[in-house]
Amino acid sequence: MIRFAFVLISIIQAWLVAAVLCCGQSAEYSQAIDAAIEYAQRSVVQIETIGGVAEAGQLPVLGPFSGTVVEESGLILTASFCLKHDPASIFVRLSGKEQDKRYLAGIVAKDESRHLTLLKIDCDEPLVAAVFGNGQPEQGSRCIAVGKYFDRQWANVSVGVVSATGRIWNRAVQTDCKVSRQNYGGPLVGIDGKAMGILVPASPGSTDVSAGAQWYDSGIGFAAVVDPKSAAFARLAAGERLRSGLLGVKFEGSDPNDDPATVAFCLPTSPAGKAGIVEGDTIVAIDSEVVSRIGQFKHAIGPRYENEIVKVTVERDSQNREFDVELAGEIDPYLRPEFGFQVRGVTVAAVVPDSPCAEKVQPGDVIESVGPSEVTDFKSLQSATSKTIAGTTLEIVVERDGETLKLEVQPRNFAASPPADLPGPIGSEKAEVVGLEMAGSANVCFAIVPQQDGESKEEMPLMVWLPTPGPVLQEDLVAKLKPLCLKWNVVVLVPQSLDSESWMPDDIESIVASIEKLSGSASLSLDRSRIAIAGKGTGGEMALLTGFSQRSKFSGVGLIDGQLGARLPSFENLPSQPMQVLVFSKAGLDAAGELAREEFEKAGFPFALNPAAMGQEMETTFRWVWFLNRL
Amino acid sequence: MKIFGSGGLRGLEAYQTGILISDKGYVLTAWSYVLDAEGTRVVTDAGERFEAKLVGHDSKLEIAVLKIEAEGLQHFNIEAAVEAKPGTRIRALTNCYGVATGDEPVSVQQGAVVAVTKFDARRGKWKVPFDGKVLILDAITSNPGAAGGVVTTLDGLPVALIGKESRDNRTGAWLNYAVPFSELGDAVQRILSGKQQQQRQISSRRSSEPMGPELLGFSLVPDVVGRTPPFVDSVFIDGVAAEAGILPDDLIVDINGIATASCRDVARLLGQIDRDEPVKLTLQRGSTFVSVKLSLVKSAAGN
Repeated sequence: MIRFAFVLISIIQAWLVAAVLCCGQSAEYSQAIDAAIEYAQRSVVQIETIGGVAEAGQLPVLGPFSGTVVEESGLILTASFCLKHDPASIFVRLSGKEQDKRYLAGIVAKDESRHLTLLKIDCDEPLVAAVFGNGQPEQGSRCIAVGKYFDRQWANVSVGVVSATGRIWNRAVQTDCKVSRQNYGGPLVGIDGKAMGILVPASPGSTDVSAGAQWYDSGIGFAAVVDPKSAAFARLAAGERLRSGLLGVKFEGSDPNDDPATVAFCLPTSPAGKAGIVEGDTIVAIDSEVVSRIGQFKHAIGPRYENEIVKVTVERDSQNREFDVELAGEIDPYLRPEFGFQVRGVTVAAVVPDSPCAEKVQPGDVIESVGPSEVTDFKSLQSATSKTIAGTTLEIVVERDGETLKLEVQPRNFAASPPADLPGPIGSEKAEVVGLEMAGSANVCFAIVPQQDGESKEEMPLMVWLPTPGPVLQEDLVAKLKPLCLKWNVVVLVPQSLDSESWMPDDIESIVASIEKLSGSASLSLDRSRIAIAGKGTGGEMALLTGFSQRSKFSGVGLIDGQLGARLPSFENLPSQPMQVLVFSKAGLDAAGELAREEFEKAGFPFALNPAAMGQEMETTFRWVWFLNRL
Repeated sequence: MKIFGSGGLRGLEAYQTGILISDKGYVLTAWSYVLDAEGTRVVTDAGERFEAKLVGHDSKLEIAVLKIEAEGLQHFNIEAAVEAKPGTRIRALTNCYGVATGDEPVSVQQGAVVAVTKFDARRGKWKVPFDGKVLILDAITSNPGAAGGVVTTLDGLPVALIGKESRDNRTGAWLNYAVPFSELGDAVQRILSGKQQQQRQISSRRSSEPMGPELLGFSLVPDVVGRTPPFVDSVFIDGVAAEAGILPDDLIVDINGIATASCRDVARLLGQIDRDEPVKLTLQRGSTFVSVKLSLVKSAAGN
């Protein structure tokens, strides 16, 4: 008995200690919170919807949500997430004396950068607009998330602190208040009752309006920062859709915290390109904010909207130059151009029929320049061709039989399917099966290496073939792949999964290591511009992940009858990192696969779906690998 | 205090929380499968174990009272419970996840009251029958083993009893909630006085002779998607609806004050109304709202 009492007392003692520490101001503090809620909730309304599209496979999310009055005339901001179901009607319920009255709301416009929707009601009652605080709230300061989910008279609240400012690339305040459907669309207010932003689901890794909604009870919540007095808000109120402002530059560096913001590529049609920024420029400031790393660039551009003008300072040839750039809401994707030839070094080996270079360039021609760029080796030729724009006419200079010829060529968009009417290599008669023991792993990878006849040995393409996880019947696989290896002079490497049941992300490292091990053997020389990774089913899915994780290693990914997805690392399409995607699907793509295909095409990757009849998958895949480095 | 009983299989925890509510050893807790077994054990924060006897329970409020053979223990006086409002700072004391073992006290969490509202929740697919007043909390108290825990003010006065894990009926999100002691007092008194649980008339959600759109003289657009907006498709000549002035393309916004977000909502709500009861509909016609009252009885009398 005494023991129980003792511990209860000890708990009470702990409270008393806390009370001494903080409750000296406790009553005052409670009053302050009450006052802030009272002040803020006048501007919070409840919103109901009727009808709409229910998401497949999910319980329909019904029920009201919140909105924040931002202008007395009847402008109300809410979270776009709550209108994701595209309802037939939207109603606003007020908390005043006519609280049973509904007001039909119309959508004025959406702010896609902040995931907000602006609504308008015609209202005869006086509305109280939320007062927004000036300047950035202080990290660690008290804040309250206010919503009207349960009741339209009394706000529901969650009390917490400002966890951070400048989140989601400088678009949101983060809080440990519980942010959920109970308060999405309501304001996050300070202890002074002034709004810091509008509560929305958000996630730094995704631009989807639902991203972050799964964090509702995790203590990670966000309020999108808006300023109803800003020029951007005036545009929204005028009915303009607000999109994030984009500069249209791509960086090669992979570490946003470390690498300088050196432009690896920008299309001449992009805002940066139009303003005169060129590749090789290093961005050192946006407006007056100093930028020394890619991450700082993203934070500086993150809060800006389409059509805003920013001053970009770049360093070029050790000198700073300033450009005024009008940001765009959408950037044309980089589309790889195709000239229609394959080369060895800079000597043309094959010309694709019906391509821009057909009947102009001939096998044996030595290419000297492409447009303004002189070329001396494959790398400089690839760089020169990949940066041209499809549809523009330019001059190629070639040497043919001791003569210099100037040819006018108009490159086209890269055709994803491998050229069908082009003869392949002469082929080999023998191939050797080589076992590769990988350090630290019980698995034995193996490779099928065609043995070329004669003195001059050509560099050979490599296809990494990922089998279905589990024990690999080497003999069967060799029997199947060897004839194609011989015909197409393609080396095939078959790594094995560490786990006997599935491919794991950890396998990527060992797959790459097995390529290095193979290319290290003295008798073999691989053509680094023709390394592809492919597989069937789960092997193909792993190939997709591996290929996009190691963009500098692979220039092609093949997936046969697997689930196509586009949630991949390094999804940036850059001229310097060619990547082609080949997909075979007997059953056709499912809904998720179709969405993924759109993503690949939007990003500008050459994407071929079922480019040959069924039964020809492997043959076509080898042909594709052989012509992988055509230009 | 920590309560141990049946469970432990298939993800069912064999523990929950309870509080002493008198110096005679009465323990208030949540009514759950944990109490199903003979020999429910109660362990105090000092590690002292007691066999507990079930005194009684209330299945709608989902509470139970146990008795242990111990007197004079410090207890909560739930009759002196404090009412809370949104923003009230609270502490929650629970045996969440069975973290507290042996002579350890239960876990303390701190948070604030989000809202005071009617309970509207489900477990799995089933709606929870209790629909009384609850406090929604912003501390994450909806955890295994937390049911039967207590919510107090910062100075330790009792406020509410934490209920069993439930999800918001409308959004499917976990609800962190507690039932105020003011809602439980009568039931606890009844259990303590040894009376049997009143056979509460849990009103059948479905009327014996339910109302339907056809009876009222209109039809809705075909229900093709999960959330088809309830537009009136056609109005029958001489029907009650026609008499009341309902027009095709009217959108049904609420029935007797309850919002209708879809055709299914209309069917469900009308199904809960008896044929001889009047029905009040709010309609959206273009950008205006129209209120109509329909009654089958009146119409019959009129004819």
